[in-house]
Amino acid sequence: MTKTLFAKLWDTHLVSAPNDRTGFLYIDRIFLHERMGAISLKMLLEKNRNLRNADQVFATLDHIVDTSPGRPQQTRSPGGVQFMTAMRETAAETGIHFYDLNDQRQGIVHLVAAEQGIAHPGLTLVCPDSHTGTLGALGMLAWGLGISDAEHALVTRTLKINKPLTLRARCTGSLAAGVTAKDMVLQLIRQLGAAGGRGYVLEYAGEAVQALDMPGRFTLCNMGVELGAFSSLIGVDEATIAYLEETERPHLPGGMDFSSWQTDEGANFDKEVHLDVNRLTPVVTWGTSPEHALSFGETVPSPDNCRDSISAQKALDYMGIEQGQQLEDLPVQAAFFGSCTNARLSDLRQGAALLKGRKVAGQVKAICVPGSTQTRLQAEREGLDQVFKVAGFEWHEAGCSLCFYAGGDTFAAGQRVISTSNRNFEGRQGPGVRTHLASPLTVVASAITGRITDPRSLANGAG
Amino acid sequence: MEPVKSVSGIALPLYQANIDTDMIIPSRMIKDLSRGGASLFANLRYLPDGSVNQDFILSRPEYEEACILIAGNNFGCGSSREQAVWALMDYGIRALIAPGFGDIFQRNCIANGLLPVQISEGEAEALADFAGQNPIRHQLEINLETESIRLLGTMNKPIPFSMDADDRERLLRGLDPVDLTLESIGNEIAAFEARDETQRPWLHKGDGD
Repeated sequence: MTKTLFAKLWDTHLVSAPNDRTGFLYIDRIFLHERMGAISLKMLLEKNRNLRNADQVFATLDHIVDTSPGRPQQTRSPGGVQFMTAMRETAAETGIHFYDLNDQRQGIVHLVAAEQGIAHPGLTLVCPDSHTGTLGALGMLAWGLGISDAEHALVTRTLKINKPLTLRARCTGSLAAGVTAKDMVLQLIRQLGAAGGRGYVLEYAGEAVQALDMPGRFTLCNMGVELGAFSSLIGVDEATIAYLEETERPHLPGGMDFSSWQTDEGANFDKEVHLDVNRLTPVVTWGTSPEHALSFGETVPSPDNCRDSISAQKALDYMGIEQGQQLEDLPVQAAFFGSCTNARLSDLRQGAALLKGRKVAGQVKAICVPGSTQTRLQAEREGLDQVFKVAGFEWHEAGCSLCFYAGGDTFAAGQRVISTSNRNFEGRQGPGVRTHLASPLTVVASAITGRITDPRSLANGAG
Repeated sequence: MEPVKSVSGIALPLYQANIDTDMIIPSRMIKDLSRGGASLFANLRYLPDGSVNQDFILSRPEYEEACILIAGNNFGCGSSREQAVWALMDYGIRALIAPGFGDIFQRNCIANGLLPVQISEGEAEALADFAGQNPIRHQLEINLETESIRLLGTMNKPIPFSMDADDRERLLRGLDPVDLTLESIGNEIAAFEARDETQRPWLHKGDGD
């Protein structure tokens, strides 16, 4: 019988099925962080409940940690110390695995889970963060949830899920130089809309996906949630196995054959969409939803031509742009290179290649935040930090940083930030801050010119 | 948990698509571990200097007692922060009506007894107009037992809605989800683990600790 990867994951983890549209799934591993996970553990302890298996629960600090070099303060978020203290105390009390700030394994949860082999093919994993679907690139079912559901998973090691339908995004063709996985996923969200994937688990497939390295695949899966998908998946192939084996991953079981964690030839999906990447060009968002995106050369649409004209008009007003305008040549005051979407070694290498020998424009505050301490250390061994710093970027410690504003430093209202992160919501990076989402190459190119810039327009645009 | 049978009162219309959880509760407003006190729609309610934005609908006195919020599609998309649900409930909101909700947000609502009621776009827009015309006179009653929305003070036909049967029953009876799971499938969880231990021993090293 042919099965989709999702069906294999569902069937092997189904503990109980009240009906054929709902199931209690066994949760193999749980990853927590200080912003929400600490509260889940506190709730559980206050009710005198036990963790079902602390050895399969992991935590780190990422969301509100200070990422300034040397971390002079632990956090710049008002009240933030309470979250960090609570994470440390509850981790100690429950005996879960915990990577504190001084631990070389620390970083953004979704990078750490992959680096440490905590996430691997065939597993289910949950984390109280909406970008947990990132890990689906490893052929596993990983999804985000809230504090209460995390408590339920910690105590019962199960979760009740309404079974999503399956959606396959077949990506054909090959990416031109200067065009990346980030541009692919921004284009897909534009095509399907911010709620286009709701009720579905999204599998990315096709030659254009197989041609991506693991960091590119993580980028695709990371932003599936932005089109409303329950989670994202990519089937296991040689690139996945090579990634798993390229370095020691302490929590990866040895001697396993993971190759069957992929969709069988001929399996049916409830819905199929197609993305031809041959003609794909770099994509940038113009508005306040990831679905508000366009390619260089296109102009900002009229609200009447958008999915929801009311929110599109509000977006134009908030972003200080007009329909018919081009994004190229809009000055930017800041560039943020970071987040679980695009702060892996491969992203940093690509960014550094474009940056080498060039300088950030005078008025641009440019910040690079490697996604994990492991990534930062390896980047430094390769001299990438020097390339960024010499060019005029700040080089930070690992954490979520300015993906979202949690108090402390930010940019001024009205300032335009070009960002490798995943959300351009109103106020996301600070009250009144105008976020444009783009690929690492576009962010670097824009930092150099001081304006939103197509990376292909720079000589030897890497890609 | 308190049982939820029906929610009646003033409805606040915020009929716009894609209202995300950053808008509902900006991260900078989450200053401690508690459930209360965080400021709902802070970036919209307050101007940069901290004064109240009189243009925002929540600033109007007639909505002070609102216990229902009517929104556009994909309400609660974005971040998984459960503090968004807590901020709504802290304000006094006990039910939401929208054509659709962000997945994680919807599950967070159920976990806290905040009723997420899904109806069509046309119906939601009509309710938003109804409430907006006269918030004090045009109140709503959302009845979870009968799964219907009544437009109070009118002879209009109630609008039906449906919710997952399990979730509905749990809300009506005020049952704790963790206790319920352990009671209803505790044996099956143990049976799954017993079988799985031989297949995937590395995932069961800490079992029973």
